[in-house]
Amino acid sequence: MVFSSNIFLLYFLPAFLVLYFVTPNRFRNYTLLLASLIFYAYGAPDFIIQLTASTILNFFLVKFMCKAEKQSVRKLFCGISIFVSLGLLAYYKYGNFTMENINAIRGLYGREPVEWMKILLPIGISFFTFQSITYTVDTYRGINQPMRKLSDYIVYIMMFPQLIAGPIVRYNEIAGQIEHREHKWSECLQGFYRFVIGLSKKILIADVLGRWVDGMLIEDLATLDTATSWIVIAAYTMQLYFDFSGYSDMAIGLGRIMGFSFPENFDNPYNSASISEFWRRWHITLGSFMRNYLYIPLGGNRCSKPRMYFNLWVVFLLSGLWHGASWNFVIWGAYHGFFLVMERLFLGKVYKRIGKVPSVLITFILVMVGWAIFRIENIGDCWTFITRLFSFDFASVRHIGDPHFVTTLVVALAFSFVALFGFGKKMQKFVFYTNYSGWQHIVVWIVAMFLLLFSIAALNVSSFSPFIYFRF
Amino acid sequence: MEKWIYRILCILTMLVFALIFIQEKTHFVCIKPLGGVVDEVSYPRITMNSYSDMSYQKNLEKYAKQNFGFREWLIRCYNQYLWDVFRTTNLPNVSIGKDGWLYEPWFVDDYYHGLMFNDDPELFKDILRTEAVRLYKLQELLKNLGITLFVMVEPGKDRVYPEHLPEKKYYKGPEGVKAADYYPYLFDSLGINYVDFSKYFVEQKGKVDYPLFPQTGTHWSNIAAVHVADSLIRYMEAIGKMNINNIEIGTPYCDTSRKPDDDLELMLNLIREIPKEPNMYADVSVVDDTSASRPKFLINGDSFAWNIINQVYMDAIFSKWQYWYYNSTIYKNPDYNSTSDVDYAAEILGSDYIMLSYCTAMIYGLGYGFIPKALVHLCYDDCQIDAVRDKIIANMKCNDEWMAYLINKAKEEGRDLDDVMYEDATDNLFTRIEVHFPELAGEGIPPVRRDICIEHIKSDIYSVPEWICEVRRQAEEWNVPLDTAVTRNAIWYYNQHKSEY
Repeated sequence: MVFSSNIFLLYFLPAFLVLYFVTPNRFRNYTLLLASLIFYAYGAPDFIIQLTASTILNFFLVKFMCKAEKQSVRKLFCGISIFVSLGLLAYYKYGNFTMENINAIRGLYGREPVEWMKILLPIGISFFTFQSITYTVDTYRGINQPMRKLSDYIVYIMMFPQLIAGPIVRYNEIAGQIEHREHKWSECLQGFYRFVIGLSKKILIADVLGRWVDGMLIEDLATLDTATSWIVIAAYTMQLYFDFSGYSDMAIGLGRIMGFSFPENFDNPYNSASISEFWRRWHITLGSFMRNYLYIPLGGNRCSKPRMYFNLWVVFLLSGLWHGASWNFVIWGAYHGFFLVMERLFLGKVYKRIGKVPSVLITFILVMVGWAIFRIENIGDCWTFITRLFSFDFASVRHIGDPHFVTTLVVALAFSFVALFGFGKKMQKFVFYTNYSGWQHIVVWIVAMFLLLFSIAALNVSSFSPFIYFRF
Repeated sequence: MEKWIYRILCILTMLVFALIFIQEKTHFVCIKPLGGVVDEVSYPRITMNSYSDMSYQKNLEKYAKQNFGFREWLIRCYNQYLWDVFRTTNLPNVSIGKDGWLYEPWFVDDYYHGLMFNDDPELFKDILRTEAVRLYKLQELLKNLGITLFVMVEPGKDRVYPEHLPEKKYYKGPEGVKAADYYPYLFDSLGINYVDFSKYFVEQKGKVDYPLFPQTGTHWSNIAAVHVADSLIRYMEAIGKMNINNIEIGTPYCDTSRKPDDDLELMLNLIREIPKEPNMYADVSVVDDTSASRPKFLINGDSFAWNIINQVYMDAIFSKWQYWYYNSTIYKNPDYNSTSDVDYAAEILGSDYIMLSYCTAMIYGLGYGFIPKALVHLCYDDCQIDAVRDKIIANMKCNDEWMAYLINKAKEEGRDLDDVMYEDATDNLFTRIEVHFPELAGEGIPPVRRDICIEHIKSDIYSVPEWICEVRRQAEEWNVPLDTAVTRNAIWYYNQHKSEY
C-alpha cells in the first residue's frame, strides 16, 4: 500500500486513526502492530511471512546476545543477527544482479549462462534491514536495553509510517517512545498538517514533474538539445526531492499523530555549498546510519589520510549500491565519493574562496549530473544524456508546451532555494516548527484541508503513481 | 479554549473522511455524473490467487478511484483549476487549441507531421499501396457479384479548421506521409470508388452558414453530417445505378449542444462550460419514393458514422443495414455483436453496398483488417483456410524464437498456449495473405469461391423471369425439383463463364 493511494487515504488511514484512538493507551501498540501487518501484507503478500519471521528471529538473537555473559558469545550472536539481516538483503536485492554479472563473465569465456529464477524485491527491505541492524548494534554497544516485549520490537521494525521508505529511525532514538509516549490533540493536528504537506509535495509537484520527465526520457536521448536536457534533469532533480522528502514528511506527520518523534530526513539539500554538506542535508538518516555503522567502524577520520579517503569511497560505493542493484548506482556512489575526496583535498578551499552562492550553484550542478547517472540505468544512454548536457546544442531547442509543468518546476525550484534567504528560513521555521496558537490552527487547518482534498482530486485525475523510492 | 479548538479541528478532520465514506455508500448528495466513458470496475472478489498476485489490490484501488464519495466534485474542481490557470488538461486524448478549441491529439499530430511511420515514409507508402491493391481486387471481385464497394474519406477537424490548432512549435518530429493524402492518389490511379468529404469540407468552409465542426467536439457537426448523408445517398445512387430514398433537410436553427457536438468538452469534466457559439441543427425526413429500392448496406467505419446513423432514419432507406465499428464491434446486426464471430462471406454477400468510412487521421488502417479477411473468405473455403493455418502453426513450432515469444505472451496474459498460437497464426494468415495464398498475389483479380459463384448465379436465375421460366420448363422435362434444375443450370453457366468470376 502506498500513502498516495485512495485505499490508504480514504479507508485505511481514517479507519486506523479511529481504531487507534479508541484503543486504551496501553494497548495502542497492538493496534499499531496489527495495522502495520495489514499494511505490509496488503502490499507485499509474498513477503509478509519472511519479514515477520526474520524480525522475530532477530528479536530472540538479540535477547540471547544480551543474556550471554562472555564477550565472544555476545559477539557471535551480534554477528549472526547482522548476517541474517544482511543475508536477506543480499539475497533479495542483489541476487539477480550478482547472477547477471556472473553470467556476463561466463559469456565472455563462451560458457553457458547459469539458470536462475528471478527474485522479486520485497518493498522496503533496505529500510527494514537497516533498522534491524541499528537495534542489534545499539544493544550490543550497550546504548540501550533490548525490548522487553516482542510486540514492541515488531512495532519498531514494521511500523507502517516508516517501513517502506524511511526515515531510518535508530533504535536509541525511539526506544523510549515505543514503550511510553504522550498523545496530544495539538500534536495530532501538527502531524496532520505535516502529512498533508508531504502528500501535496508528492502529488502536486513530484508526480506532475515525473510524468513529463518519464515522457522525455523514453525518447531518443541523442536527439535532445542542451536546454531541454537541462530542463529534464532539473525536473528530475526536483521530482526526486519532492517525492522522497514528501514521503518522509508523510511518515513524520503520521508518527507525530501517534505520538512519535521521528528524525528529520531532509534539510534543504539543494542549498548545500559542497557535496559533503549535501550529504548532511539529503537523506540525513541514511547518512547518519552510514557514518555510525560503517564509516566509523572502518576507522573514520582517525586514521591516515589515504585510508580515510579509501573509507569515504567504500562508504559511498556501498551507499550507491544500497540505492539499487545496478551498475549505475555504483557509479553514482563513486561519483559522489570522488567529489567528497576532492573537497577534502582542495575543492573545499575553492568553495570557501568563491563564496556561498557560486558554491551552491556548482554543487547543485554536480548533484544534477549525479542524478542523471542515478536515473538512467543503461550506462550508454546515461553517457549520451550527459554529453547532451554539455553539447551546447541550442539549434534544435524544443518548446516546452505544458504550462502546468513549467509552473510546477518553477514553484519546485523556488521552494528548494527559498531557505537561502532570511525570509525563506523564517517561513520554513513557522510552517514546520512553530506551535500554532488557536486561530493560527484554524487558518492552517483550512489550508491543510484544502490541500488534502486538492491532492486527492489530483491523484484521481492523473493516473495512479507509485513512489520512486520503493525500489530501494 | 485552545484545547477545545484542537479537539474540534481533529473531529472535523475525521468528519470530512466520514462524509466522503457516507457519500460513497449512500449518495446522499445528488451529483451530476462525470462525462466520458470509463471501463467500469466492479468490486473485486478476494481469493488466495488474486491476493497473492496483487490483482485484487490493483482492482480494489481502481474500484476506489471510481467510487469514492464526492469524486465528481473533486475531479471537476481540479480540471477547472487546470483549465483556468494553465489552459491544459491531464487527459491524454484531448489537445487544447487556440481560442478554446479542442482537438483529438492524433488529428494534430497527423496535421503537423503525419501519424504513422514518420521515420520511414517509403515503408508506409508500401503498406498503403499494398492495402489499396487489395482493395481494388476486392472491389472488382464484388462488382462481379453485384455488390458495390466504396470508400468515404471523412474530414478531420485539423484540416478544416487548422487556424485553431495548437502551435506547431510544440509538435516537432520527422515529416511523414499522411495516409489521407496518399490514399486518394492511389484510389485515383487504381480506379477505386471513393468520395472525399475531406476535400469537400475544406472547399465548403466559409461558404455554408453553419459550422462544419463544433468548437469543442471531434466529429463533424450534426448539421454537417446530415448534409453528408444527403450527398452520400446521391453518390450511392450514381455508382450503384440504383434509385434510393433521399432525405429532406429542414431549415437550420440554433440550439443547445446535442451529443456528440461537445464530446471533447464533456470529457474535460469542467465545472463551467467553455464559452462558444451556439451549435446549429436541422430536422431530417426521408422522402417517401415508392419507386425507390431499399438496398442492404454494410458500413465499416469509425465513430463519424454515428452522427449520420443517429439523425437519419436508416430503416426507411435501407432494407437491412449494419455498422462494423473499426471492423470490431457490430451494431444493428440481429445475429452477431462482434466481427470475430461473423461469417464474413455471408455478410458481404448479403449486402448491396459496402462502405469503408474513415476520417483523415484514422484512414491509415483502412478497414482495419476487413479487406484481407474479405478477400480470403470470398476466395477460399474454411477447409482451405484451416489448412493454411495449420501449416503456419507447424512452422511456428519449428521456430524457437517465435515459440519463445508465444510462450511468454501466453504466460503474461494467463492464457492457454494453444489459443495464443491459433490467434497468432490467424493474424499472420490475414496480414500476409499474398504469401499464404498465392492466387491473391500479383496484379490479377483472384477467382471467387465456386460455391459462392454458383449461389450468385442461382439467385440471378430466380430473379430473371424469362430465365426461371425456361428452367421451370427444364425441371418438368427432366422430372426433377425446380431447385435442382436451377443448380444444374447455375453450374453449367459457371463452367461456361468461369473466367468472369
